[in-house]
Amino acid sequence: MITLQDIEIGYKTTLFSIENIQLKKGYVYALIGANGAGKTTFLQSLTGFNQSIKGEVVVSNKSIYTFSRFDKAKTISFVASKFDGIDYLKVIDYISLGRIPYTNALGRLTDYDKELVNESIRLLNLEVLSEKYTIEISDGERQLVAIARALTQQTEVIILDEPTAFLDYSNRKKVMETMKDIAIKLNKCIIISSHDLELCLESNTQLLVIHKERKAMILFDENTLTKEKLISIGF
Amino acid sequence: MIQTKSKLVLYLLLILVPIVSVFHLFSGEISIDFSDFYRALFDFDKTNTNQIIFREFRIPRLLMGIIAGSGLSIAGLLMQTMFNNPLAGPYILGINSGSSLFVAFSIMSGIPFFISDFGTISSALIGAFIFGLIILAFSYIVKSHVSLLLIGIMLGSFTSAFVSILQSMSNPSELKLFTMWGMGSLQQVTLTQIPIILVFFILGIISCIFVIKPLNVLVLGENQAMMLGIHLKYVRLILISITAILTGLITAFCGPIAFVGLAVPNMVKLLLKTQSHGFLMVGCLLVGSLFLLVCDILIQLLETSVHIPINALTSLIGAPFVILIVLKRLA
Amino acid sequence: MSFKRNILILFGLLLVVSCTHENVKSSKQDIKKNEIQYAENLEIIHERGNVLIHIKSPENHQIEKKYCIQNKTNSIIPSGYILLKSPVRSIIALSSTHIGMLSKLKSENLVTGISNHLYVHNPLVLNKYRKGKVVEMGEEGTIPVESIVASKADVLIYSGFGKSFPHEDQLERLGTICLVNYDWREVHPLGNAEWIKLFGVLIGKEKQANLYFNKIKKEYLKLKKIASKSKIKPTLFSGNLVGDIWYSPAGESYNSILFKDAKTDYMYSSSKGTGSVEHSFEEILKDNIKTEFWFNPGFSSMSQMLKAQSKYVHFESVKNNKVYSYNFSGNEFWEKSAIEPQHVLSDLIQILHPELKLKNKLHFYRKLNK
Repeated sequence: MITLQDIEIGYKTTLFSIENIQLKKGYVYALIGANGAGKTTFLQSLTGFNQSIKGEVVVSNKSIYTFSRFDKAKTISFVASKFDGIDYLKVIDYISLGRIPYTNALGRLTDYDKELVNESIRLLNLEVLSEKYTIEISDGERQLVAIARALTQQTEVIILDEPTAFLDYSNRKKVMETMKDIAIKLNKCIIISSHDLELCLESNTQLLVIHKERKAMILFDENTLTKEKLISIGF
Repeated sequence: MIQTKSKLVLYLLLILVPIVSVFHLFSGEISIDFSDFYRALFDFDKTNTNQIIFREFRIPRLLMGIIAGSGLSIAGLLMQTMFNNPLAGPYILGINSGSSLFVAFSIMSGIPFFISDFGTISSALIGAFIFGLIILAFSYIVKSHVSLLLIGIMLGSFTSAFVSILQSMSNPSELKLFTMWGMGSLQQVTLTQIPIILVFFILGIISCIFVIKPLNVLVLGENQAMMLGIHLKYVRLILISITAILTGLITAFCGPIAFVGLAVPNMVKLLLKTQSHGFLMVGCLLVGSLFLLVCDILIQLLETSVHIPINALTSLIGAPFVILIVLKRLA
Repeated sequence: MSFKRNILILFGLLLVVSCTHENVKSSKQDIKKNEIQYAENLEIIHERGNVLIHIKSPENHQIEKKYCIQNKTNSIIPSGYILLKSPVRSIIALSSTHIGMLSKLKSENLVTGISNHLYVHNPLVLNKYRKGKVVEMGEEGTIPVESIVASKADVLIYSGFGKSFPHEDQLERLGTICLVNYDWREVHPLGNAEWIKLFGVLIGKEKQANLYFNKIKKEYLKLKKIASKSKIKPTLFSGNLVGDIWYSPAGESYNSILFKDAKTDYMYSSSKGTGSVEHSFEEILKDNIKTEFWFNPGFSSMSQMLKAQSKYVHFESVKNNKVYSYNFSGNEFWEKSAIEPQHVLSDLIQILHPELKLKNKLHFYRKLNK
C-alpha cells in the first residue's frame, strides 16, 4: 500500500532514514519516537505536504507528489490530536465535510454521500450526538467525531497524530480498539503516532520505531518487543 | 444543514426587506405621497419637485443602502471565515486605506493633478484597486493568513500616518470636506451611477456562489482544509478579489461605513445557527440590507434635531453588539 | 494776622476750585466718544494722551482684551491694558483681510510675516516673500514660537477664536504683542470694514483710515438707497453641500445683510443666527428649485460643479445659467471684500437688478464659466 524505500526524512537536515518498509492495508501502525526525532515531519511527508529530503513516499505504486489535490484527499485522511469544536457547527455537518473531495462545485451531498455519513456515525456509535453542536460535546466525543469524519472521507490511509493525548484512560483504549476494528473490517492502513507506549503494546499494533542511535525507522511486528527494549531503542 | 426554525427566519427576513425599503423611500423631511411615488416611476414629470426628489434622491439612496449593507456584510463574512476570526471585517486587509489615501490626496494635497480630473469617486476607486493589487501580491507570496493579516494592518497604519500629514497641511475647508467623506454617506450617489454599481455588485455576489464550498471547509482551519483537497492559495486569491471589488466599490460611492461588515455576519450566524455558507450568504444579504436601511431611517427621523452621519450610527449600534460577541466567546 | 489767614484761606479755596474745575474739564475730556459706529467688537477711545483699544468678544460683546497706545511719552497707562508701541513698524498679519486693510492705507510694506503665501493676493507682499523679506509662519495653531521671536515683529495680528494666542505672554515679554482681531465676526459689512480704523491707529495713519471709511460708507449707503427704490425683489439662494449638509447664510449674518441691502428675497432671511443654517439637500431643492439666482456655490466652473455633484442640475438657476461666484478671484476676494463692502454690494445690485441699468463693472462676482 505504502512503500517507503531509501527515504531520508527531515526538514533542512536529515533526521532519520528509512531503508525499506511496506505499510499494508488491514493493519494499525503505531509511530513511536522521542520528541524531536521527526514524528511530525514524517507524518507531514506521508501526507505529501512536505518534501522528504531524499526519496519519495509511494502510495499504491504512485509517488505521493504526483497526486492531484483531490486525489490525495481521497487517498489519505488526517485526524489531529485535538478538535476544539466549531461554533454553530453540528456533528453531522462536521462529519459530512469529509465528503468534500467527492462533491460537486457547490458541495452538494448526494444520497450516497448522506448514507456514508450515517454509516460512519453508526460504526462509531455516535447516533445520539449527531444533531448536537460540536461545541457542546466532550473532548473524547469530539475525537471520535473527528475519526468519523476521516472515515467518511473513504481514504485507504488514515493518519492520526497523537489522538489519545488529551483523553482519559477509558477513552484512550476505546480509540485504539476502534482503530484496530476499522483497520481490519474496512481494510484500511492506519498510522497512529503516540507517546503512550503501554497502550500501543497492549493493543498489539505494529510498531514503527525511530531508532535513536541508528537514526533509522524500523518496523517491528507485534509481540516482538518489550517495553524496556522499546525504550532503549527509541529514547 | 440548517434548522427549520432558521429557514423560517430567512423567510421572515425576506419579507421584511421590501417592507423596510418602502419605509425608507418615504422617510425624509419632505413628505411624499404614493401618487408621487407611482408617477416618479411610470409617468415622470420633469417639473414636479416631489417626483424629482423621489427619483434623484430617494431611489438612489435606497438602492445604495441595500448594496452597501449587503455587500459589506458578505465581504465581512468572507474575511471572517478566511481568517477564522469573528472580529474580522471587510476593511481588515487595508483595501479601504487605499481609497482613504487617494481621496485624501484629491481633497487635501493641493496638487492640481489630483484635484482637477479625479473626483472623489475616481480617486477612491483607483486607491482601492492599487491596494487590492498589493494585497493580492502579498497573499500570493505569504504562507500563513496571520502574516497577511499583519500586512493588512500595517498598510492601514502606514496610510493613516500619511493622511495625518496631509490633514495637518490642509486648510479648514479641505479638512472638513475630507472629514465629511470619512463619515460615510448614502446620499452622494446619483441615479445614473446606479446601473454600473449594480453590475459590479451582482458580479461580486454571483462569484460568491463559487466559494461556498471552500468557505464551508475553511471553517475547519487552513490545515484541515488543505487535507481535504482545497487549493488554499487559489481560494485566498478569489476571496480577496471579491472582497476588494465589493469593498472598493462601496467605499468609492459611500465613503467608509463602519461595523456593518463586522457585526452583521455575527448576527446572521447567531440567527441561523449554521456554518453552511450558502445560507449565511443569503442571511448576510438580507440582514445587511435591513441593518443599514434601518440605520438610515433613524438618521432621517432624527434629521430635524441633529444630523448623525451614518458611520456614527452604525458604530453606536454595532459596537455594543461586538462587545456582546466577545463576552459570549469568553463564556 | 487775620488778613494773612484770610488770604491763605482764599488761596486754598481758589486752589480747590481751580483743581475741581480742572478735574471737571479733564473728566469731560475723558469721556470722549468711542469713535466706532458699526463694528460691534471694537472700541477706540482717545483719552489723556492715550488711545485705548477695546476688543470685545463676539459671543457676548464683553470686552475681552484691552490695548493702549501712548500718544504722549509720559502718559499714564491704565491698569489692565497691554502697551502697544506706535507707530508699529513691523507686523505679522495672519489673515488676508489684514493685508487688504493695510494696503488701503498704503502700508502693506510693514508686513514681515504671513500665514501662507498661497492665500496672499497683494503683489507687493508676494514680491517681498519671494525675496525672503516676508516669512511664512504656517496655520495658526502650528506656528513655532521661535519663528515669531526671530522675526522681531512689533505686532502679530490673528483672527480670534475666544482663546489667547499660544505663548502670548512670553511673546509680549520678548517684544511682540499679539493683537486679537474679530473683524471676521462682524455681522454688518460696514462693521467689518471699520476695523481699518484699528490699523490706522496702529501705524499712525488714523486720519487716512477715517477718511477712507467715511468714503466707502457713503458709497455703500448710496447704493443701498438706489436698490431700495427698485420695484423688483429677485429671489436668490446661497451656499453649497458639504458632505450631506447644505450650509446657507443665516438671517442675521454678513451675507444675509448684503442680500437684504441689495433688495432681494432670500429664503432664509428670517432665520436666527449670525453663522450658517443647515439643511438637507432635499429641503434646499424643495425650497429653491425655482429660485432665480444662486450665489456662492463654491466653484468657478459649471462643468466642475456638475461633475462634483450632478444633482445640482435640477435647479432652475443652473438651467438658466444664473449662478454667480467670487471663486475666480479667490485670494483677491478674501483680501479685498472685507474692506470694499461697497464693491460687493455694487456687484450684487448690478447682477440682481438689471432693470436699474447701473452699468458698473463687476469687482468680485462673475457668472460661472461653462
